[in-house]
Amino acid sequence: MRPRDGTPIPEPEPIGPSHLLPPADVGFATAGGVTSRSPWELFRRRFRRHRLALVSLGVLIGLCIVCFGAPFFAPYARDHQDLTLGAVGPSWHHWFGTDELGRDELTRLLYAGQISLEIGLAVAALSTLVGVVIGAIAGFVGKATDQMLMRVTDLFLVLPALAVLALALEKFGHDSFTIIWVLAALFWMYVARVVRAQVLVIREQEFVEAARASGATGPWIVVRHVLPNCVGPIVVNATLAVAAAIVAESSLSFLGFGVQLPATSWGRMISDAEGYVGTSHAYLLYFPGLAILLTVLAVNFLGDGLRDAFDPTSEPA
Amino acid sequence: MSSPSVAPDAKPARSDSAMLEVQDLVKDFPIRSGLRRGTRGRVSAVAGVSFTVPRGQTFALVGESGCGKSTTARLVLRLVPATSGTVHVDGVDVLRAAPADLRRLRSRMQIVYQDPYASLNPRLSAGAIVADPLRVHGRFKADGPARVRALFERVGLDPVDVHRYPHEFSGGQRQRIGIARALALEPDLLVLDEPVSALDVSIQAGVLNLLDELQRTRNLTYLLIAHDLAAVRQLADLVGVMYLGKLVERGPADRLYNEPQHPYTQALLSAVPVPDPPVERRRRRILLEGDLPSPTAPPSGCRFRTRCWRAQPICAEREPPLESHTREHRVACFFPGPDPAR
Repeated sequence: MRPRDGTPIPEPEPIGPSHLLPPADVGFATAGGVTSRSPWELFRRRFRRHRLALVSLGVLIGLCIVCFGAPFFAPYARDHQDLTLGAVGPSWHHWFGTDELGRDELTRLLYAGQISLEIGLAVAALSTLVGVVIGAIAGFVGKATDQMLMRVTDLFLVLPALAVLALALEKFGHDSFTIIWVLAALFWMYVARVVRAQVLVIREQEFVEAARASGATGPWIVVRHVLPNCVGPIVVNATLAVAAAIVAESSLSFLGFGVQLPATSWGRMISDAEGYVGTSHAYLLYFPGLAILLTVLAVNFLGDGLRDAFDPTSEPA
Repeated sequence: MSSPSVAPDAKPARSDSAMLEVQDLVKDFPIRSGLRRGTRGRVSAVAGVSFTVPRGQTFALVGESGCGKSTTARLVLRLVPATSGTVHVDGVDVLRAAPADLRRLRSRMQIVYQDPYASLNPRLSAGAIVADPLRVHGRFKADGPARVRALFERVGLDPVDVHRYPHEFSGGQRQRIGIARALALEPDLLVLDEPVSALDVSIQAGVLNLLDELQRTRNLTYLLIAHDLAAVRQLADLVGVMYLGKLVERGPADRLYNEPQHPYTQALLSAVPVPDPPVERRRRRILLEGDLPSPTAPPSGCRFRTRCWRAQPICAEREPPLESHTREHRVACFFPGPDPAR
């Protein structure tokens, strides 16, 4: 008693596997002779397509090398000073000129870069990590957990940043280590809110339910299915955080809460030279300003490239 | 995708044990609104549904949009918590299983979704999607890649394509990836939530044939959700017709197709075109008037009475029970039977 008619429905067209032939230039050949590319290979291809991102990566690496290798690259010793010189503009001996104490501007810029880059990258990494964890938990678990975590986030958001910074730095010292922790504590909320919003969208998608149907537990679903779909906003926020941290450190230095002399940062150099606006010594502002600009731009372009490289739907042309 | 060793009609011997048993399944969704999130009312999405599916057979649950058929599918898999009722899969109580037991149980019941786009993670390669259930259950061992390739072959995909991403496949191919994922854990029960409705008609046949073949070779039990009686005819052994959260008619497919008793079933069947022009021209269509009533305030008595041409006062007073018409064929109507007037 089989009610269903056993004959298969005629299929109007072959629905076999398609060979959407990939370009046969890269990738490893398989037994069938059809090339296939590993996800890592695809990632590299997509990233390499981004010329600007590649250049930016080079610029960032270059900046890190010259700054952290300052003892080798700087034209003068860190504490070299020629008081007889005073502030003179760029010359063959001092490419970026000297400051009012006769210190070589290029040398100072390189050593200052150590602190600025360290703060920018570390704050971005730390705040992104904290923000992603808190945002993902709040968005995925929901209910009371979400409410609690989001109220904590709001609490941090309404903290008067400068007052907290000043207080914390007075208490724990003005070293870059403290600045990193305090800035990260003031930055993670933005990432957390973006990630939470994205997780709220992704967790309602059918492929997440499919994962639950196959028996996957919460952590597995979040790490394997939800977060990879949030990479775009996370990367964009992380790059913004690098820029914001470098600028925030500048503001702190400007107000005198930043790193203390004799250590210096790009922000500190700008604040030290603030009096020269509109004078012939304005070059003392330009070079650290340009260094910050270059770093921030490079990080942003790099972020764009990374976001696209993580997205499998953006195919290498 | 064919396995020549299996003759078309050689279905493995069926044991008569029930693979899936659903009893009085109820799901209410509270309607919350306002600042205090107070409950303003209830949407009765599924209002007491019962059916039994023997091992190796297909139960097709048919009804129009919003009748609760997809909710029923999710209730059966406990993807949505039920308000009341019981679900037994191979004798195990799904709705009251402890988390560890539920995890084990999930590997025996899988789902294929309607939308082959939303149901595949765009960030994972097709191979990783199919391998995911294996990894979840710690069964992705050294032979994992080989198993994934075998699954690809089983559903008619080229194993070379395991590194490709979902967006590089066509709708039909994506649905095959979804089927391969559902098969990865070698389940006994597959819930098919409108598996072909999102596909082109030309592709539907291929996927339906694949499902049919898989059922024969693996003795799978299907709970097939559909909104179209015609589309499920090839697969269905048993059919249940749902209207506004309730089963109005349930029975063996041949009986239900040939002698529909409930006016709603008759209306649904009359909407199926006949692929024969002279017959098609003589075909009478039953046009239902009005819209589906709101499930927040279902009609009293019989839920179909507001659109039924046979409705009498009694239909508003009492709810017709799902009674035996003939053996195995049940209908919830006070005035069942063929409709000569139409």
